[in-house]
Amino acid sequence: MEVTLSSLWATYLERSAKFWLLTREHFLLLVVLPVTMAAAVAIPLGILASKQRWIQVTSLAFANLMQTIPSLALLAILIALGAGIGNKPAIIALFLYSLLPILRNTYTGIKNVDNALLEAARGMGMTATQILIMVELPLAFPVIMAGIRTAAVICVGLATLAAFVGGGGLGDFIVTGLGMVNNNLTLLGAIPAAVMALLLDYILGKLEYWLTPRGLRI
Amino acid sequence: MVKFENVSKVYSPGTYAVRSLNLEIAKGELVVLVGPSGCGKTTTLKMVNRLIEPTMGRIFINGQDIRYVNPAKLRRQIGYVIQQIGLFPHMTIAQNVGLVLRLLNVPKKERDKRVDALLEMVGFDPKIYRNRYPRELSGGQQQRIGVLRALAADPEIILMDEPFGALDPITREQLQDELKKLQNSLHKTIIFVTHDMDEAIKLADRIVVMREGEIVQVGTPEELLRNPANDFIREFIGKKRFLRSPEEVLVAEIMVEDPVTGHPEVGAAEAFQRMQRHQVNSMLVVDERGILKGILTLRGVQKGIQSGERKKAGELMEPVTETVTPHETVLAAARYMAKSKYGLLPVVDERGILKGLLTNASLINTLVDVLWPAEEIDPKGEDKNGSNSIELMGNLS
Amino acid sequence: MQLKCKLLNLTFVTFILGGLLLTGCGPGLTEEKGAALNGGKLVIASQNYAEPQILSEMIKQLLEAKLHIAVDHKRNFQGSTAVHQAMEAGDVQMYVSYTGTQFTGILGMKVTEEWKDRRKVYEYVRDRFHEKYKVKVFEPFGFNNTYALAVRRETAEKLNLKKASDLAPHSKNMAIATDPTFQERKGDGWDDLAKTYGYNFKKVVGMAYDLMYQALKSGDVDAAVAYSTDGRIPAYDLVILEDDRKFFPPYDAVLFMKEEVLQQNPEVEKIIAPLIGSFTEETIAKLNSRVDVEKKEPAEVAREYLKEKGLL
Repeated sequence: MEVTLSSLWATYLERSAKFWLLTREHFLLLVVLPVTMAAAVAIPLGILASKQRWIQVTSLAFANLMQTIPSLALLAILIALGAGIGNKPAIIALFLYSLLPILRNTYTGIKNVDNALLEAARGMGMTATQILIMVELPLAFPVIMAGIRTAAVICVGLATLAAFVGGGGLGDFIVTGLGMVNNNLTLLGAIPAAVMALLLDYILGKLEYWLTPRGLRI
Repeated sequence: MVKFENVSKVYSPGTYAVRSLNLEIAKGELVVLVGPSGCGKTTTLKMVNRLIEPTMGRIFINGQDIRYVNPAKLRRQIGYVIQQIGLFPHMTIAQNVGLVLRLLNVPKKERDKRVDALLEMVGFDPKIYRNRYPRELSGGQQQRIGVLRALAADPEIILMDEPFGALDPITREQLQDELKKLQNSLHKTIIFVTHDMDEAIKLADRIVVMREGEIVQVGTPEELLRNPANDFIREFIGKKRFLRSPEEVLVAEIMVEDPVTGHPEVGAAEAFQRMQRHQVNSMLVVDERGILKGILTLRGVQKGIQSGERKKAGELMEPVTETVTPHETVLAAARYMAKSKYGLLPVVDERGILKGLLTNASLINTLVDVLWPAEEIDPKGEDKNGSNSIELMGNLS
Repeated sequence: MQLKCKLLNLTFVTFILGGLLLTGCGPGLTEEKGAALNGGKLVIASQNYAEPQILSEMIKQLLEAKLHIAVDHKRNFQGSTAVHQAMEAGDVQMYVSYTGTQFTGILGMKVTEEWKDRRKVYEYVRDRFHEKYKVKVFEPFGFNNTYALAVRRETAEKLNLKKASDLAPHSKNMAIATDPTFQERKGDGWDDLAKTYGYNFKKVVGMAYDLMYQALKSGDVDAAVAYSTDGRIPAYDLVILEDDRKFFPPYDAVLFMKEEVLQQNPEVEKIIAPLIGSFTEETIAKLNSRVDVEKKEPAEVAREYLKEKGLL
């Protein structure tokens, strides 16, 4: 099937309303929401993991396991577990997939804080909580942000799985396009997803830079 | 002030890191714990601020058993300086220095005032350094800040765990001098750990020599040098210190092995920067074969820069009249040094290749140690000699 | 570290995009081109699901046993077009596909009222393939793997559903799942199906074909546009509603073979003959379920079936 700019444009015009709906859905429901949820869970969990060996072992094993389950199988399991269909199981699946990069980076970010700094902090009379808030988290911040960034970019690509359970998003165009061997339709989903991933990576990169304490910027 | 009473630390049954240690440290005293690695000196130090808890025995500070003091509170009242410096890279110099004050809820205004005063005390211009970050400072500058950080809350006791161990020899010597100066005016109770006997002798009011968790001898540097308790101490202090005359000690043993050098083609500005970075007031000019060509003084460089022309080190340097070879004796070196107008003596081999550097300070220290090991060393006199050859950049600029 | 991250992210995006393009445009397989018979080997190709793979395995095993010729079974082609292209390129000599697929796909026909007759569609495909591609289209295997409306048995019993038209009055309270592709199809897709039967579902969900059955079983949807011979229909105790208004085009499974190769191996026709016209929707669905649900290998399922029928 021939793909030209004009055929792509025609495909877009045909469904421009749906295009923008799906793009918004893809971004807000299938990337921002699950990554935010994953960050809300994985950052505290990563902090606990850096303090407690058994939490580290179990949580990283769980997050790793999630990554190994193929998306179709994970969705089937979620449906069987009663997560239903539509964007709910998709959001849960994306949440589960986003856990690992954030969890792992939070854990390593904190674990990599120089022992000398922790020794100095304790020796100066900082409590464990003060060390966490004033030393460990600020120093781990760039690494944690990088984890969130990775999760977000992966999520943009993985979010196409939502189309498998009627969850919307740009995967709708991609899956349908693939099924119908309509490359125009596939690209109408794939191109904005790729652009979204690049933009997100860029913006989060900038954000990471501006939020990094000045003394740590490279 | 600080009292150890039968203190032991056992890590695994039967292996004592510290064994039945009894020691009393008076207010205002600088006590150096010295010994080979694994002798228990650092463990002893860290038990004072409860970073390590003793297995047996008690430690008192001002008569209070520290087991009953909240560890965080206890530590805020005790200054702590470590070898790795441990400045927080995400905080400014001011934030680092003021951290304990912040932990003690001292209001920001007061904190800032105190931080500025401390910076000024060691020759840092607060306007310049307050908002700098640790990575913008050299190692020596960082550890100065590390010491200030420990002083910030004006603690009575300061613990120093090999604080100068990671610094280059010249910087180390400078910081030792500064610490002595500070101690002369502040009179803190300082417990200082090192494995370097020279450092111990230079700094200590009292030296505690440890081995395998136990105290071998306690005494003033003078007492130790005069009456070493046994062979271990004699060995540890170093034979050359006692038995050898200046004719026996060779230049190679006491020279600085990596002096600041530069190629004749190096520009004046870069040479200036290099001196500033290493905090010295001269640079030895050597060619690509390592052959000494001359000496570039700070004054010479400044002249070169002021002249406005892009002059090179080779053009600005002055010839070196006095040198010494590594195989000559310290006595011979002292004679050359007397003639040298720079207060330093380059060490070159037969082919003229630069091997090292003797400074006024190091030479005099050695001579003093060798000739009069039992004499009281006047810190002021030594200071003066030290700062003749090598000065703080802060003082110069 | 930052640069590395950036690079990784970029690579990832490129990979995803590239992957999508590849799967969309072709099989992504490279095969050495050869004569009609690759070194005396026959190549049979099948798409990426159980049914054509089981049938291809049967053909492979029969030919290997009786014709004493090596048959290479290339599996997991993405889409019927890819298989056809491989045959055109000379890399593949045989494959199993469906009349309706070729009719609308490669032959580019529209399924209008007059094309609802199975025989008529079969004959059209057979004749066009002979003329255009010199490909022999064998007589059908006997079953029609078309779209079909599936519901849970309890729903069918409670509401007394037998035919597709029985569903219409209940549809406004129901959710139905379909393959997203089906919703986009013009002429034989969802819109026309709903119009034909007067459906008015409260929710029409497009979802992955493989997940539809799970969603139907879990009660997340009440009906699904399934394939009539899918193994999960018997396995999950689902009921097919009869297409009483003859909406769905016929999808008879048939074997395609290069005529040139058949002429060199005329015995093939006789060896395959026992399979022709021998399957019903139920028998093939059970075989499919042994692969899809019981997770057996298509080759094993095929061998067991051939032995059972005394063909091996």
